[in-house]
Amino acid sequence: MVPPVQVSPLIKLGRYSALFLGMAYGAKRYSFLKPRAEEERRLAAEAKKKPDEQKRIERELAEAQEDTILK
Amino acid sequence: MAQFVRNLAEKAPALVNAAVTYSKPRLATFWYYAKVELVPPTPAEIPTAIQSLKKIINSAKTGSFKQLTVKEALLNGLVATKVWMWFYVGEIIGKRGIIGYDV
Repeated sequence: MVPPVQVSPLIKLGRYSALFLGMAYGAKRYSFLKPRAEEERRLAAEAKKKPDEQKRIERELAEAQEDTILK
Repeated sequence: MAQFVRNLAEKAPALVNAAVTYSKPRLATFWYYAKVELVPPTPAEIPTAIQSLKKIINSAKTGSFKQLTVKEALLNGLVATKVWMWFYVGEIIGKRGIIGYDV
């Protein structure tokens, strides 16, 4: 087998510092994006409420007005 | 369906054994190389690393990096790319998801 190559310390330092920097960046960005996404979901749910209410009213009106004997 | 589950339960130990027998020597090779190549830098190596960094900055300042051959420059670029990719691996670990942020 080929003997393992000796990696220069600069590369080792660079690798592991990039790894930890990446972990910190990922964790920070996640905690930054999470409340924003929840807020957006909340707003979307609220914006959906009114059209849903309208649809419900229209549906009940239509049901009340149709004249079939199969009720 | 029940037949399939029963077959699976009967064959599972054999499958696991086969997987272990297959992966053991490969794991051994991996460990053999990883023990030397993938270890983090010991505190004693950090001054050497800082020296190399200073040399690189020096070569950038004095313009002696233009004396590098294209092949050397390409290799350096590849090594730098590999080091930078560890940043993205770290980001995957930090955001606990492989693709995208799972908010």
